[in-house]
Amino acid sequence: MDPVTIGVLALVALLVLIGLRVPIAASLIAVSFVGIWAVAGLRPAMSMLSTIPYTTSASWTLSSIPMFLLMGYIAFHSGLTRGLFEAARVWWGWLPGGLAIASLAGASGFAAVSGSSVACSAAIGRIAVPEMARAGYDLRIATGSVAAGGTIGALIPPSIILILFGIQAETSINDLFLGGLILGLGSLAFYVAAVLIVWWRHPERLPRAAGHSMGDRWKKTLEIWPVLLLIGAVFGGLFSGIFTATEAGAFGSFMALAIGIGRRTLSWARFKESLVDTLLSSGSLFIIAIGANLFTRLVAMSGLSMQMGDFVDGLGLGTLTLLLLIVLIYLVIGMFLEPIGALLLTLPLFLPVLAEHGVDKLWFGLLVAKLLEIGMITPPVGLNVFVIHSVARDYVRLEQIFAGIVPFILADLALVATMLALRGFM
Amino acid sequence: MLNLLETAIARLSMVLGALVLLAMMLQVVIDVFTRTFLGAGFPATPDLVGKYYMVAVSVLPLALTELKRRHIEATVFTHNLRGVPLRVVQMLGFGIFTAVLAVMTWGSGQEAIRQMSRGAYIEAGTLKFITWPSYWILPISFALALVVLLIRIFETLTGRFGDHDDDPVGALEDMQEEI
Amino acid sequence: DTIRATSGFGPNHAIAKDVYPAMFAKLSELTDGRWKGRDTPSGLVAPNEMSTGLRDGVTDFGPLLMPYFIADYPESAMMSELSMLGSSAQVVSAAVTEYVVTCAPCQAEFKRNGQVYLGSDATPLYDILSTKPVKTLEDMKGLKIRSGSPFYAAFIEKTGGAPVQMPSSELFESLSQGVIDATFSSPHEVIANRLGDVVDYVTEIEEGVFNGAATTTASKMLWDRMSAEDRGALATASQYGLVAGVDGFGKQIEEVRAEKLVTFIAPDQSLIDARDSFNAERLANAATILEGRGVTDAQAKIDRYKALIDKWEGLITPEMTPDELAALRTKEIWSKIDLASYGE
Ligand code: NA
Ligand code: NA
Repeated sequence: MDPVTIGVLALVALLVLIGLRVPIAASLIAVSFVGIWAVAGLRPAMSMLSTIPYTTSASWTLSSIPMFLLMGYIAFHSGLTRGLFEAARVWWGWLPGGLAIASLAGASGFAAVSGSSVACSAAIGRIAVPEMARAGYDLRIATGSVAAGGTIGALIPPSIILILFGIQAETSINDLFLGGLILGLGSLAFYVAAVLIVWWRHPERLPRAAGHSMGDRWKKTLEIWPVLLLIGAVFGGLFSGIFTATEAGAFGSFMALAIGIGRRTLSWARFKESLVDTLLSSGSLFIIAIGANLFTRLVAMSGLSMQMGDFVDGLGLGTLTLLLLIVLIYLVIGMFLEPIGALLLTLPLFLPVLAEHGVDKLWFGLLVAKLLEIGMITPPVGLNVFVIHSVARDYVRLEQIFAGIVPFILADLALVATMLALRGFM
Repeated sequence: MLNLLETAIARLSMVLGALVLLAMMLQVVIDVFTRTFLGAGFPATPDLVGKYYMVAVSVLPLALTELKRRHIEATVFTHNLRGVPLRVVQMLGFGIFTAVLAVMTWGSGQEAIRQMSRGAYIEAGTLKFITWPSYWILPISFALALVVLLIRIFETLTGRFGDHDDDPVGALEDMQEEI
Repeated sequence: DTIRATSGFGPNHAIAKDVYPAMFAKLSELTDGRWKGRDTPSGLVAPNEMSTGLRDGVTDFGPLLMPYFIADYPESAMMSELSMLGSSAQVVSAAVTEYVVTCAPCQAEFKRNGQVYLGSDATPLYDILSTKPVKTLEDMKGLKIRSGSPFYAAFIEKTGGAPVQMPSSELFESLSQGVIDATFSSPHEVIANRLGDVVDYVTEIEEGVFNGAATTTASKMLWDRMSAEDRGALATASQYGLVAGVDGFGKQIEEVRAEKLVTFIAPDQSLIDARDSFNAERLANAATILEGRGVTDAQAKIDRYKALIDKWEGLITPEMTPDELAALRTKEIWSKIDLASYGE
């Protein structure tokens, strides 16, 4: 069997196993192992299974993910977040989809301190979802808005994916960051539009709260000073150069813990619960990250990606058709691979082709970042959706979150179409 | 007997995991603090966090995650199954997960033995930072998870495993009462 | 036959752009097209997985950064402790390669890991790349500088700065936000790692090089597929690649200067003196440090390496072309090796 066939069969096998309720991590690892064995032999397959779990998890940079999860859980269990959403509700609850919009805005805010999409979802997920559920929001739109909001985390700087693109494609990272800021805010605007459209079609899914007087509002706002202190400390420390984006999560957890203890709202039992919840989320997420990493190696090894590059190159398409095809390819890749691996795998294939067509690298970098982030919320392997599932799985099924994502994917596609249309002006 | 084993595994992973999480948080904060106010950070923080704490936080909870049935799976095509078809689907999931864990336990164990025999270390600043023990975190964690999965297979075969789909709405009501 | 190489550092890295393309072109020429090469620059084997990747045939060929696996290569990575020796990257690259090829304990290390060593490159001399001007010893006080190896960490401590360890993936952000003030690196990284976007000054302290990369390393499984003649062709072609890579670094530095991407600062005498006294002390202690790592008879080995540096300082002249350099390395190093038994 030739390697490309093996690659295609692996994709099919993965879909079947996931559909048959085999845990997603086990499906990814099993298919990768058998696939690498078929392409390259048992020894390389064994070798990768022996080393990649270590090299994937032994990462200082990824440490922000459990730390942001811990911060979210401590903030939730000590009642900090409840106040925050109370305040959001008295201010914006009367607006159509006000809480969903507040969550999106909150995710965009966290995007400025976290470099990755998963860390951003982890930080905001535990805070926002239960509060929206309590306000009577449809669980699909509640979880979908947070999973989608997390993707803004990798667009607004700092952004690991844009730094990587800048280095690999010899593009100014400062320019990419400026573009990423605009793109992130653009995404926020499109997501807000998606929420409003859902509200317009199904007002019962996003119930509006009664209006509140200004006095009420300020009273509620003053009550949330501990959260404002937490947020202020994290942002202040980051922007004054005291700590890095990776360290921000640990510092945030520490602050949340200190505030919870100081206000006596965090009991010993709830503190333990925060730790166990964090472990359970890490336990379910990192093994999927290991699986997704192994699967990326299989795709690299099978030559499927190279074949794709040659195929696209050989078609001799016009620039717009070529770009549409590449958009389509990234959407499919994004279904299965994680963004960093997918970026590393595909850039060497597409950059030369696009250079021939005179496509601006800065614009393309932003497009790729956006497309790969869409992959974070598309089935079957959507890491952001898994994060939200892991923090909200007591009351929402995975499929419901994927269903809730649909309006936001449509918004993303509209944004991608806008980017394609605006390309001529860059 | 099996219950006793499950409880022991759960306790062990909770206590160790929680300690690692706290150590990670405190060490990063201390590193930031000493770097800012004393000029030099806590030695080897990125290495200790990356090579030890992160490996532990990533894989040590695997057994606990299965005990609490928190591994992420898609139930969209299977949530109406009952009886024998449900048992078959459950067995497929447990079987594949068990096979994967068995291979990873063996493979990462071989790797840990190799790293130990070389006395693997890295150079962190001017320090010699020993890394080989961190490789043992993987086979130990995978083996713990493997034990839990074997218990699951035994339970499924003997009809004692009564996993039903979650009741999201009921759980939400429980949560609202609790808080 | 095709060599499946994995340069691992991405499509824009010198290994993917200069070293491997030049090497594969030469290999194809020397073997009349019997052997070709194909590089997967990223996504298959990461640099920190390269040792097992080569051993188990995940890839045929790749760059091995020995400091990542220092416990596996105490003898072959010895020269990173002698980073202060040598006046140019081409000299260091040739001397390190000759040393490892002709060092029995080094060869045993590669053999034990299922690999065949075919050469090292070296970076240009390291400077201080910083966000604020550094000219005097006084300017070093309290400066937070990222250090990639014990050699630089010790130098930073000695001159009153604060060494900070962080992965290279965080370098850009940390410089940009002021978490650190500077990094020790070659000025070609102003372009290669986009550091020019955050760094404004380069203090030309010329302190050491990075020489710990066995950039052309073959899997033993590939070596077993090759005849003695084709092995010779691969060893020769590797020298052409390595020379081209070092040459590429030089061109990037010229570009940094020509386009005035940063301000170059000449260090004053206080900083130069601090460097020279540090280097003298470090060199005097090198044998002790190396024996602590398990290198036996270290002083004799240091002396042999010093002699090789002197030899190549005499052989290499600034006006040599890359092809002449590669031919010289082939003649001086590889023509004396029996390739039927090398690596076995
Ligand atoms: Na961000
Ligand atoms: Na996806």
